[in-house]
Amino acid sequence: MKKCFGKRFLGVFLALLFFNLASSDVHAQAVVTDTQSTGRTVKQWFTEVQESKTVVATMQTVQKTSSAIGTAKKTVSEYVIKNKEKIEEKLAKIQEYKEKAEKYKAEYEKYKKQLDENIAKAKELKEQAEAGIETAKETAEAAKEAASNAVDAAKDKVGGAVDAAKDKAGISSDTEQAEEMAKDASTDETSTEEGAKATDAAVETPTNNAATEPAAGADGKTAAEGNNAADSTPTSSRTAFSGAESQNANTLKEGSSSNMDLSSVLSTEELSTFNSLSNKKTLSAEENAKLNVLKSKISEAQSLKATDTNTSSANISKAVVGAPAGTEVKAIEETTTNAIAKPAVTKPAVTTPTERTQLRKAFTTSSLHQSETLMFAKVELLNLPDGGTDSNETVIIPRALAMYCGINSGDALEAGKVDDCLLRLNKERQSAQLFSGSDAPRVYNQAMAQYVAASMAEAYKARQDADSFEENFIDAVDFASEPTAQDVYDNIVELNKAVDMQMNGLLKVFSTQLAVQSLYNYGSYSFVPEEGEEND
Amino acid sequence: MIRQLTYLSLFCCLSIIFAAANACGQEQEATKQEEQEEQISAADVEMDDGTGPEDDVVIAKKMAMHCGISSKDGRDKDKLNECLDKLAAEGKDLLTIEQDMMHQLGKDALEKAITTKSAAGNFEATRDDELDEDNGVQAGSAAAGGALSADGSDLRTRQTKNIKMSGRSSRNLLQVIDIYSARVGLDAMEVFFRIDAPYRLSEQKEEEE
Repeated sequence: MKKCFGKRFLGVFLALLFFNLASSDVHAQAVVTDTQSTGRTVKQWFTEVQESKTVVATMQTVQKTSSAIGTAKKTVSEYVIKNKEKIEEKLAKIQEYKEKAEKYKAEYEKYKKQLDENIAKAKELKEQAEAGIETAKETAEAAKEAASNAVDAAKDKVGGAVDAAKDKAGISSDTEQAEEMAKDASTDETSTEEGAKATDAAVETPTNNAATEPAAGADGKTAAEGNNAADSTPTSSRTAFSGAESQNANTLKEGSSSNMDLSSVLSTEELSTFNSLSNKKTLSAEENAKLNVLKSKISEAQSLKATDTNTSSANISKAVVGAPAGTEVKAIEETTTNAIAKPAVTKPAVTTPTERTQLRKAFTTSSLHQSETLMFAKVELLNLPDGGTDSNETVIIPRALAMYCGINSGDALEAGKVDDCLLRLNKERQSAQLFSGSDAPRVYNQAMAQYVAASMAEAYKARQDADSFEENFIDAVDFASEPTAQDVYDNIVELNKAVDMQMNGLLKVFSTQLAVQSLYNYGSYSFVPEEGEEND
Repeated sequence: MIRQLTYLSLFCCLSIIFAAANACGQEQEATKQEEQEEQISAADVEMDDGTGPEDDVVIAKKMAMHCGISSKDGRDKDKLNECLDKLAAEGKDLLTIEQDMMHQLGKDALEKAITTKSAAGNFEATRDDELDEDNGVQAGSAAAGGALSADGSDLRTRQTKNIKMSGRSSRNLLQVIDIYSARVGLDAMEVFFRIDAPYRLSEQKEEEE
């Protein structure tokens, strides 16, 4: 019974189980028409569609972004390349500037050396001039002494002749001869005195001129009037001197010992004839003629001797006076092609002692002190000696001015630096040029020429830029593509940059014009430092 | 009790905030007042030596001292005319005045010309970097090169750049006017000394007769 109950229970259980299972399938297979779930399903479909659209859009955005990133990367890489090129360009420019500065430095050292040499030569010239003055003074004194000795000798001779004539007059009965001799003696005395006076005057004038002419010449002033006076005086003294000597020759008496050795003039026979005829009391016509011939010979020899003496004294006088007026004196010799040109100097017109003293003073205080006028800029790493042209190749100040004052483009931007330089240049231009060694007028003219040339070059460049502006900038912007708003603004910025550049060019041109005009004014007005500022 | 404490603390906080705001306001007012006083004091200066408040030579010092005028009178045509008559009446003594005046004007003009020329020459080398720095963009960066930014501020950056550029152009134009007016002033003074002064002097003498 128990076995039967278990089997029955198991069967029922299995049947129930089977039935449940079958009944669920029946449910699934049955068509269900539930609107809510349908709606849900439809909604789900829509959501799925939307999600797939979003996915697509996202995919598209991703693509765009990646392409933008690609473009940006390309832009960045292009920029980096351009920037690198710019940097390299800048470095190359700086390198070029440094090399130019080195070359200029070498040139400047050469210029400085040349300037120092010129100054040394100028000093030498001054010393030579001073030595010349001393020599001239000594020579003049020697000439004076010689002249006075000659005058004394002539006086002695005349005195001796007069005594001899007096003696003769006392012995001889020939009164006419004695009168003649006495007359001659007195005439000789007068002419000798006059000759002595003229010689003294001649010696004095050369002495004074010797002291002043070289000094005046050193100052570079105009021609001397004293030269003419000095030139004429030796001639007159020569005439007077030779005249006195010839007079003395006429009064030579027989047996009188002359300063001259007659044996050197006459032969032995002639000498004996002369002596014998001189000692004779009365002479025939033939004998008189013979005696006159011999006397003339002696007098010729004596006048020749006197002429030699006069010529040597005249030469001394001429040497004392110096070169004639109007001669151009070259002060400094040129050694190289780059040397400063020698100024042409004519001798000054010196008339009064006061003027001569003043000129002498001016000469001694002339601008030989160059060290205070030369300022050499300290060469620093960022402030290189560049000859007035900066690293952007802009001519700030002309090269000649930069070299003269020893300043560079950086120094020129400091307030008052260029003004000081130009005032110093003007002062130098107005002072004596012979011993300055720097040739300030030439520096100014060179500076003006260089500045004008640079301004002309800038003007031509500005014109060229203006001519090509439309083609290079305006058209380029006009026809540039503008796919995005950023591109539009980029183009606007580029155009404004171009306009800004042109405005800058205008500024450059006008400032160049103003600089040239100002530099010209400094020269034409000749501004000089005020008295209180001279020692700065 | 707690409520009361809360109200009290709230009241204290509010009063502290109010006091701080008051103090800030007073400080700003004081600053404003100082600025106004400065402006007033600059405007109240009647006499200067012909050099304006920004160190620009409007009238030469010698001329200003001789005629008793200042930089502000530079725009007064009648005062200037009167001053020129006074200068012309100097006659022979005008030469020293001319030297002083032309030197001062020439010195100012030369310095202005040289500095402007140097700055103009350096312009292209530094312009782009300066523009970027003005916009807060680091020079040499990718953004400076035109790379797009992630936050979409590119448009604003470009607009700002545009405005800055216009400002620079205006400043350049002002400098052009400054330079050119200095040139005109220099030439005008030269013409005055060479031609106008003798003519004015002769006119004055005729009037006296």
